[in-house]
Amino acid sequence: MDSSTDKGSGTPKPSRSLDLGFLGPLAVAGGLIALRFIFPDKLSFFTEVCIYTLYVMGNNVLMGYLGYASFGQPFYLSAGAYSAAFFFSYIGSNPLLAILMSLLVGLVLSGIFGPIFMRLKGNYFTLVNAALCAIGIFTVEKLLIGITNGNDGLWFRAKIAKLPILDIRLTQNLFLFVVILLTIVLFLYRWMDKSALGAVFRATKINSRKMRFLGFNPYGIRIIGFTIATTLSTLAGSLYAINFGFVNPNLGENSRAVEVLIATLLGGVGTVYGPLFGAFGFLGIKDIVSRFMSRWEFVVGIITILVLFFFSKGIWGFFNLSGTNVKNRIKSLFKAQSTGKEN
Amino acid sequence: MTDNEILLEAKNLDISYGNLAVVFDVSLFIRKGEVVVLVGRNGAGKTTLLRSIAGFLPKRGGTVLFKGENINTKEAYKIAQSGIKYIHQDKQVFSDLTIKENLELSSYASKDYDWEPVFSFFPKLKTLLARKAGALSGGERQMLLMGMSLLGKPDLLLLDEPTEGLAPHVITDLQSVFKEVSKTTTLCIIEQNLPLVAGIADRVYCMREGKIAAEITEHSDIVGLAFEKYL
Repeated sequence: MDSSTDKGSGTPKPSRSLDLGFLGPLAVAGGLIALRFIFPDKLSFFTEVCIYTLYVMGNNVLMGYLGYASFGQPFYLSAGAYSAAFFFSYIGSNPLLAILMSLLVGLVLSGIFGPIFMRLKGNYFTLVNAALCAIGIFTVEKLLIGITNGNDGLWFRAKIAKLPILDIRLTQNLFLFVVILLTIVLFLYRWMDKSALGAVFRATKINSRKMRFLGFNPYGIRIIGFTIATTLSTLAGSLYAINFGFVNPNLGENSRAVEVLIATLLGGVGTVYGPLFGAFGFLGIKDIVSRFMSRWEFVVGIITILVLFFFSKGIWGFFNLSGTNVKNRIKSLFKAQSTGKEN
Repeated sequence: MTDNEILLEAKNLDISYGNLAVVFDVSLFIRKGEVVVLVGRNGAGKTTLLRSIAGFLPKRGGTVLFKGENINTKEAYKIAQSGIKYIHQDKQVFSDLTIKENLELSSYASKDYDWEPVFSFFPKLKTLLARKAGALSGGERQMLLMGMSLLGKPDLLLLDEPTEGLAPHVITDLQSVFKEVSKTTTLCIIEQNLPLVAGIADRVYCMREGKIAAEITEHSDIVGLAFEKYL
C-alpha cells in the first residue's frame, strides 16, 4: 500500500519518493555474512537462525497477517524435514530435489488441511492444529516405524550429494546457501507485505465480514495465507534435515509449538523483518541461558512476558518506532534551525 | 429517470434467523435507475430483507433475480462482485487503515482504480486520504463507505439507514449526493428520515411485521409523506 494518489487523476500512482526498502533483504544477507566472520565459531548458530527465521516467517503469516495462532506448526516443520529425510533415505541424493519435494509436500498438506482448517474460528484452529501435531508424532513414531525408525530417527548425512556450484555438505557453504534462500524469501515476503495480498491479509484479519461486502472471499484469502505458512514451514523443515543430517520425532513435538509463537511475538508480529529478530532473540536467549541452566524456558518465559507488556510490537517494532522517533527529532531540529535562520 | 428495465426482483421471499421467521412472502422489484426506499418501524424486517438480498442471510423460501439471474445461492462476495454492493448500517470501515488504504482495498476488489468519480461525489475524502478511518466522524465514514462501494461501478447500491446518527447538515449534503449518485447507480435505501425519503424516493415500499404493507408509487403521495403511517 505504498502508492500515492496523483492530485490530478485521483488514481493511485507509485510513490515518487525513492523507496530504498528493497535493499532490506540485501542488508540482512550482508549483516548475516558479516556476523559469520565476526563470530566464526557461531557459524552453525547463524545457519540455524536463518532456517528458524523461515519457520517463524510462516507462522507470522498466520499470526501476524491473518490473526490465527497455530499450535501445530511443528507438524508442518516435521513434515518438511521427514520429506527430505525420506528423499535422502529412499529416493535420491540431490539436496535441491529434497527441498523441492518438501515444498511439494507443503503444498499438498495445504491443499488437504487448508480448506478444512480455515473454516474454523481462531481457538478451534489453534486446537485442531495441536491435535494434528499429536497425530503427526504418533504417525512417525509408531505407525510408520518401518520407514521412519521411530524414535531413533533417520540418519542420512552421508547420502547428501555435492551440488555442482556449492557443496552444501560443508557447513560454511550450507550457511551461504541458506542465506541466499532466506534473502530470496525475504524479497518475496516483502513484496507480499507491500502488495495487494498483504493489504488483503491484514484487512481480513481486521474485519473479514467487511471484506465480503467489498467482494473479497475471506475464506479463499485465508487458504492462500495458510498455504504460504505451510510451505515456508516445510521449506524450513527440509533445511533442518539437511543441516543436521538426521531427523527424529522430537522436531514435531507438541511442546515445541509454543516456541515458534514466542519467537514470532518476540520479533514483532505482522512485520517483514520481525521473524528474523524473533529467531535471533529466541535462539540467542536459548543458546546463552542453556549454558547456565537446563530449564532455559524459564528465562524465555520471563523475557516474553516483559516484551509483551513493555514492547508489544516486538524487537523489530521497537527498533522501527525508535528509528521513526529519531528521524522525526532530526527533522524538527532541522526545521527549527531553518526557521531561526529565516527570522 | 427510469427506463423500466427490472434490475432486481424478489419473489415470495421468506427469511428467518434460525427458527425465528422474520420476513414472510415478500415480493418487490427495483427498476434500473430508480431510487427505491424501504420504510417501516424497527423490527419490520427491512434490514433482514436487504441483508438476505446481499447474500448475508440465507433465504428460507422464494427467489431473488438480479439482471434475470437467480442469486439465491450465491455467496455474499460473489453477489458483491456481480454488481450489488451493500452498506451496512453499522458504518464499519477498516479503522486501523487510512482512507487511502480503505479505498485501495476496494480498488483491489473491484479492479477499479479510478477514484475521480468518488472524489467528485465526496471531495472531502481527497483531503483526508492520510487519516485513519477510525478517526472519521459518522458522516465521513458514510462518505468513505459509499466511495468504497461506488468503485467498480456497481449496478445497485443497497444502503441500510445511511443517515442514522448523522447531523442534519450532513444529511442535507448526503441527500444531494444520493441524487447525484442515482444518475448512474440504482439505489435501494432503508431510511427513517421522512424529508429525505420525500426528497429522493421514486418509489417507497412500506414494511410492517415482516411483510410489504404498501407500495407507494405516486410522486405526490411520496412528497405528501403518505408512508408516514407505517413508521
